[in-house]
Amino acid sequence: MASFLDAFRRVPQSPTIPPDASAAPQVLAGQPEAADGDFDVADLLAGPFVAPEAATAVAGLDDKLRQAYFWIANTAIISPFYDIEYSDAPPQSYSFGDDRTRLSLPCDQSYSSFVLLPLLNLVLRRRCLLVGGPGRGKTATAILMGVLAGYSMRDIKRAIQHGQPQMTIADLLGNPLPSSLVNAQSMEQVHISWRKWLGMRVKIVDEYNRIPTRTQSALLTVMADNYAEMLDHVYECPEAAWYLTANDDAGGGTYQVIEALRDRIDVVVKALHFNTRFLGDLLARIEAEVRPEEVVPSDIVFSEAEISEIHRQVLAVRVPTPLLRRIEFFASHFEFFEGAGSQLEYKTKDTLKLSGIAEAALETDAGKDRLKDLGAQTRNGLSVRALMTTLAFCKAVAWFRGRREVEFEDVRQIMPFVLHDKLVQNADAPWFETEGNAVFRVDKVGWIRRLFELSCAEYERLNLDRDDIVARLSEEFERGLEGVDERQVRARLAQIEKVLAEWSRSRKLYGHVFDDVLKLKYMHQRYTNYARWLAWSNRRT
Amino acid sequence: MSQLLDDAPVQVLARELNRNRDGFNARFSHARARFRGLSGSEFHEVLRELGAPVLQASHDRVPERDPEVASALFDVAFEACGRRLLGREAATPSLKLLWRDLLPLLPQLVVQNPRRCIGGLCNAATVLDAADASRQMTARWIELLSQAARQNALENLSLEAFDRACLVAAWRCGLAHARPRALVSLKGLEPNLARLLMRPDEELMWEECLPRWENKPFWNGSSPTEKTLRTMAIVGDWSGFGGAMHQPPLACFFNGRFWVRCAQDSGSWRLLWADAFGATLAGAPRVDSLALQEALRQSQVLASRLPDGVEITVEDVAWRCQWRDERLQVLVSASDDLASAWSGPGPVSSLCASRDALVVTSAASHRVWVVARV
Repeated sequence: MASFLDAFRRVPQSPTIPPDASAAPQVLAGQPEAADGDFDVADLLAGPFVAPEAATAVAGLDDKLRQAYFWIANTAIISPFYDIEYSDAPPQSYSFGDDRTRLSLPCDQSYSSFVLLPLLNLVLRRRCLLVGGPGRGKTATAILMGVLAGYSMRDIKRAIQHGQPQMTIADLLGNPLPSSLVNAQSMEQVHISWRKWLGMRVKIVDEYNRIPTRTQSALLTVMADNYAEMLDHVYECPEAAWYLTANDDAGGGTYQVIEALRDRIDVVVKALHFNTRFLGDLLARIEAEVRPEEVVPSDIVFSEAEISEIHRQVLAVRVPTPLLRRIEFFASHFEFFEGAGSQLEYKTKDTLKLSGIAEAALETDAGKDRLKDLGAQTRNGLSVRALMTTLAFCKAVAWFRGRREVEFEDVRQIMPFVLHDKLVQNADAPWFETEGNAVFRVDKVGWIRRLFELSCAEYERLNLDRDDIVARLSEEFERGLEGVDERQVRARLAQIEKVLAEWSRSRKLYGHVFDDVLKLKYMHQRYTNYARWLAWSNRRT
Repeated sequence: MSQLLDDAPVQVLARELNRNRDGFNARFSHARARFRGLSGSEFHEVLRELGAPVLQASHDRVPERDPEVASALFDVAFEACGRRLLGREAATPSLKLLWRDLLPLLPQLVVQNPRRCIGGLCNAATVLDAADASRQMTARWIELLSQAARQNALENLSLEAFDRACLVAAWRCGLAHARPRALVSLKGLEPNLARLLMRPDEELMWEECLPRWENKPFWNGSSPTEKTLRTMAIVGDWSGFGGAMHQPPLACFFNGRFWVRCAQDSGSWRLLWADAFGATLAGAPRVDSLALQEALRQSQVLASRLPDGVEITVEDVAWRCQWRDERLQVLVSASDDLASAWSGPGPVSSLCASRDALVVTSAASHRVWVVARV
């Protein structure tokens, strides 16, 4: 059996993508790959049989993470779905059935969200929720991540928190030592025996929606603030990647999951069904009695230092300004709610939510096209945390793909998984009534991706890449006020007022206009204050 | 697997397989799931005929390594049989040659890291096969390394040094695009082994050989003689026969390299590497395509100035090229008749030259002729 496991443990050693895609040699079938004298020992000796260490010596951490991805996707998981699609040319696509369901064949390296996102979560040290029916590999995937982080199966098994209705805070965090409890004269003298999992860099909470509400609150402190508290004692947890599993997509279960806890989840991944065409592989797995998490190749196990280095490299990935602007534009649609306040700043869904009044009671017909208003499709806006997480995961996927900066497709592909639980759908919005859109009430990944596409279409219609007055004024403002004289300040104030006057005549108040108007107000206020200070200092001199 | 154990003539292999019988059987089942056509009897034959002598040789040297060697042989044999590279229906004889003629001669290297050594050599054989559809390059490479092994030149080598020797041997046998790194590797080899692999004339000092190879790509290691123009290589073939050319190719000299356009598609460029030991077409990096197209146009213009048909004389080329391209003038300054050096069918479709070689393509062929003064 040990030898079979050796075969199972094999990791293909060839680089998973060319080191620099832009300089990739163009190779025809049956011909050697080499460009400009780069053919080396590794090129000669690497291949399908086994690769010498020379072939992998130059591989970077991104390649190692891709090796890990491919090992999981091709070996550990029997039927992966390639739902994160990348194409560098128009993909071949086919339509099926009366609904014209499309299948596209991506022509660039594409990925399975169920494998990729947990891996990215591991290196970003965020919180990943794996949802799906029983027996779809959610817990196994979480355990695999623990093994990839260098923990033994024994450690991981001991550390998994299995949600169950009787779970207490002591079960979760630890116990005061009875002897110290009896002898202690003060709280400081009580010794707490903290649970070992609190100190691990991978934390797994299985079926978190079966944890009683009170215990969930204790879990929230650990998840949100990275410490545990008991009897005035505090345990500082290390930065960790969290994996939570739940059978119920809505976060239901034995206990309702408290909203704050759900809000802390950074990314939601669905465990998709088993493709019955892979039953033969499943049979081979059964006959061989192999559990993937027990045979993870050592080549793809990451040390703490490696994960930290990856994290550092991910953060160094650039987000190009035009792309950032599109993300800003997308995010700006959702918070605005015209009927929620009399003052512009309070016209938000958050104000509405705090009031406890139903949305429908305050909806106003302000002449907006409710089909086009993307904000009408959600019941909330995007939090700062959601935006930060989106950017972090976009950087991570770009890094994973060997890119130095985030690309449009990275955002389009990853955003739905990050905003899955962040953007609460307003299923009553008229947009869902239009032909072909009803399905998006159920398919949240597809819905968010569609929202982003619609937002980008609107962005292009408004020609904001070329003609974005707020961006221009912001750029001017961000250059600083030092050396700007009173005459210039007055000119800038006049320009802001002119833009606002123009917009007030012709523009309906949509979410993106709301944010732009408030930004203009902000700059106006800063210039006003500066102008007053200039006037004062001029008088003094 | 029981059949293998019963029939295996080599007891060492039988004993090793028997020792982990369940594991090997499970691996076989798993491999069969990957390679549906994997035949048990064929696999058995491969192990018995080709695997057993390798294990026997390593057993004679370091018997403690038998489990690892058997395991590696088993795994690589799966892969090779599954990919139809070994066995009765093998698409190429190269791996069989490798297992039969070379691996049993390398016990000292095999026992160091069986999987890496056996797998790496199999990979190299497939790389060489891909570079030369006739498989002769692979056969020469196996023979060259076998000769070195028989002369005990590989005896005390580390695996890293052996890797370098493999690269040098591959270059010496015709893998022209390995030349830059092979030259570097050559300097790191023990001179006796390097000499065995490169085979320069015996009267030449090794110290004078290396600089010559670095400076004269078409020097084959023989003593200097009178220089003549000679067709050094004819490379490429129609894609229908497994080659790279979708149409009669065109060639040009650009950025210090020969570039060959294999198809109308603007991305179908290959680099032509040629030297005294062979010529290969390898992947080309992306470059400024306008500049490349211009270089190609010049090659075509040069060709169009030649008379139609196969009767091309050096005088023709010299006359037309002395004001166009002085590199050509250097090349054709020899008094030989180019037509005698180039036997391709006409008309010539492109013509280009480096300091050392002339590359000619024909509108009536999918091949590329490399002519050099040697």
